[in-house]
Amino acid sequence: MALTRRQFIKRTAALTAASFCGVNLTIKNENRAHAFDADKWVRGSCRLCGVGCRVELGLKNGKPVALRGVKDSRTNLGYLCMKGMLFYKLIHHPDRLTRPLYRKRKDQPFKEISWDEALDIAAKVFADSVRKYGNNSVAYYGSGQALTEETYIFQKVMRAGLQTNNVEGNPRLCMASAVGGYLTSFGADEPIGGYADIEKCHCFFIIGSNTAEAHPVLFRRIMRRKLDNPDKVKVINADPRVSPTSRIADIHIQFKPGTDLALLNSMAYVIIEEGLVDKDFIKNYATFRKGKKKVEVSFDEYKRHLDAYSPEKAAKICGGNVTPEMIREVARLFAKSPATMSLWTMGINQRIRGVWANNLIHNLHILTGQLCKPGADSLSLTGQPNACGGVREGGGLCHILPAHRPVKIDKLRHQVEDLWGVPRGRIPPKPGYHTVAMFQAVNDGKIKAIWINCTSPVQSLPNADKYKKGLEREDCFVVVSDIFPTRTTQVANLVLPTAFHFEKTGVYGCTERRSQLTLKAVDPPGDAKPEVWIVREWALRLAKELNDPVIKKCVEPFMGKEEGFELPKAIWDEYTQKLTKGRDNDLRGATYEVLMKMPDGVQWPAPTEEFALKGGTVKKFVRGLDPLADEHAKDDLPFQFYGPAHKDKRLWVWIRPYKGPAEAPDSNYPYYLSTGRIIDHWHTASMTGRIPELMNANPYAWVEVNPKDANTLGIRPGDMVLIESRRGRNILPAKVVEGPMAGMVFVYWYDQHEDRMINRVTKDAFDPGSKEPEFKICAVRIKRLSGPKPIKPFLVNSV
Amino acid sequence: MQKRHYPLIGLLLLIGLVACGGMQKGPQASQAAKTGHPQLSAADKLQPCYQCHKEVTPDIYQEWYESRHGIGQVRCFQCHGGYEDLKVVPDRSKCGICHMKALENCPKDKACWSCHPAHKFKVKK
Repeated sequence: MALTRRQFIKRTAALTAASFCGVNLTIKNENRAHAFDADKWVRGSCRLCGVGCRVELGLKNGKPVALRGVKDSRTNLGYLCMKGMLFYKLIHHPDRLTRPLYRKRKDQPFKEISWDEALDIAAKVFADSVRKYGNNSVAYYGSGQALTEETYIFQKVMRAGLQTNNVEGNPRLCMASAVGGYLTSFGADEPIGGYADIEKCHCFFIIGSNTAEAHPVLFRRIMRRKLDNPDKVKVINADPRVSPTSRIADIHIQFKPGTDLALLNSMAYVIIEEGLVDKDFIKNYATFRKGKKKVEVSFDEYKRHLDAYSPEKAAKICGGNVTPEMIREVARLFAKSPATMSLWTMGINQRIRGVWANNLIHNLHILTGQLCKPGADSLSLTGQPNACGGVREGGGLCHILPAHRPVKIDKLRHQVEDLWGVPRGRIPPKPGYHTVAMFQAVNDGKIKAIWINCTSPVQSLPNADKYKKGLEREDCFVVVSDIFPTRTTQVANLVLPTAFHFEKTGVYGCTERRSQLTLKAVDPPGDAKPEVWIVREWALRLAKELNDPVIKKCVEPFMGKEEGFELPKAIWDEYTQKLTKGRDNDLRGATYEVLMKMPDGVQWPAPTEEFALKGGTVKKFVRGLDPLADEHAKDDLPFQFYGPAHKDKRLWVWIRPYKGPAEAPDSNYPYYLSTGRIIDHWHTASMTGRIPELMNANPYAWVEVNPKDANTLGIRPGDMVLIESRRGRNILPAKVVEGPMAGMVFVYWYDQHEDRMINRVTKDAFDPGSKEPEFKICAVRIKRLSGPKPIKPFLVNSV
Repeated sequence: MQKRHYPLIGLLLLIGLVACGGMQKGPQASQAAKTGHPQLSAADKLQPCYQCHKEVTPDIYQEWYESRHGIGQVRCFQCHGGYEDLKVVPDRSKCGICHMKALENCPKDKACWSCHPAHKFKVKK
């Protein structure tokens, strides 16, 4: 019988004295710096979050045995988190999908079929749907985890082949608001600076981000900067929840969920009121704007708008621990620091005014000139390893073509058609369905065939039950390509087993505009195949089914290429050499040959190999650092904001009024619910849940309840709690902790168990600009159901 | 500077656990004997090591918690392994997962923790 925890502690204490004698303290292997017992190391990037840590996969007799950090990498400086050091265990995991599986109806069991059969079925179903219901009856829903080559070829076949812009991906759920923010504030997507600013920063403003758990290695760099310079460097953490990130904070601003816009406007108020504005920077580089028509307004009008956000007024709106003096203090720190860096993620992006929240952070940087100098940046952290590189840059969303080209702009659309060698007019001008609209269209029976690649929307969409019903419809054929069974393979007709990281070659582009190559090191298990091969073969069959040579034309440049290296290389070459030429994310210098030489890839713009071999552009828009800033210079000023979205080539300070969440607590649903990650798990845990160390560390989701609320509700640690919204319910064990503020509960979203899948509870309201849902805030009621009950970890382990 | 001996005491305490692991019986007992960790129930295994160790080895826990590893969320199992593959004294190579540069620059004839005290991980002792 196992020891109880108390017995274990007692026994251990009793043993202490005995353990002093006869113990050999000799440390074996201590001189072996590389004792992993690996005979080969292959370089690539981490498969999990958006930091882009460089790793080396250790192989012993061809089998993966370890991962270690690349010491010369400028992303992670050699560090790895527990996920990064352990994901090699997934490569030959017994749960891997290894054969194509098919069932005609979703109430039937799956049967194994060959790739020929699988591809024929996929081609026939999509072709039939196009013939019967039109081009927009089919859709692709991809992932910020797919390689750039994969997203690029998928969207090419969908747009130029099947003539639909129904191309979306899960980055819509995590960083679309950041895209909107960068475009409307700076005129160009993606950050100006990057991680190199961390070591030069004097004031970190971390808002809506639990960096310590969601981006652990980046947090390590921030922490190091703070601990090495405890007085010189200040950390401000603004979040309704106290998280592990708060441990390094000098100031923690705990505001009521959804009041961030008031806080940010109020900081701007103080900056102006106290004369902390960088007048020269504004004069040289900025204008003020408002409204849908982007009307230019005067500084005085902007200032008048801020009158509604004096610290006294804002503190009342924000609630929590926010005081007028606190707002003044953080505004001063922000403005006066020699270099200030803002970092944020889903707490800002997943809001019904996520774009506005992004704008208001950028406003602070523009007003104070905290941009384009070492250590200063407005840096949106990305959650997935290739949301930026693959989806944002590669054309993986319904409104954008590769290399940041809006699909609705005729000139840019025709450029793409010409570069692809397909007739003009082939790509429709109208954007396709954005994510929530796409799954609503599935619900409504408008989409008859959908291909879901490398993501699990049944678990990851907000208000998940609503959209699961659509995917369960028998008149919607669902193809899922993935590596493990998930909640989404459970609603599929056709499951296609794909190659995992290091089982294929390709590029990931991380948060800081950095593209990095991962090389194939091992063969995929069974019949699993790289997506690039799957799409090419599918497209050839589609061309036959629809008797359409243009579909074949889409993959013609890639015919006959070996799938492990030559095929992705050919796709990357087409994308970078043709599509990014002359665009702000010019990647022509980042060839596979260059990327293989670099320990950590290349930051765009990088128009030539010579420039790329130096690492690319560390700071966008700065003459002397960014070759495009020199090329597009319109005057002698040191910064040139040449972004394609602002014709005046200036930064825009926006008037954005305060707007609360779509659903605030009321008498029926009196608590705020927010959700997020925990360090051991990632997304829907289909990967991290299969690594024993990670699953044991956090085997199931909890609901975090503030001690004050727990006291009111009679909830004790470990009690089972019902949490219920207008959309769905969960039953979770309680963690009573000074994490979420009083009046708010917090749940981790990785758990696959149907009682603990918190997206059954969250709300699917979305930002009208970015179309990103407000996962982070909804109203719930909570109730103690019982005392602690034994809970088992759960994973979907079969299709 | 006054030297504190908590890490050594804690290390010895852990080694004590190793010495007594073989006292258990049955299938789980053989596992316990292999790793040296006293037997744990299935439920016990589903919690972070520090949950017990902040009571069993409070000084070590506190040192880790306040260290860069603690603040940076580097957990026990990343160096010591888990219940099934516990190593009270980790291989030096484990440090190399994150600190390859340091391994190359530091003396090859010393354990990392002879200069950078275990669990505190100050730059120098």
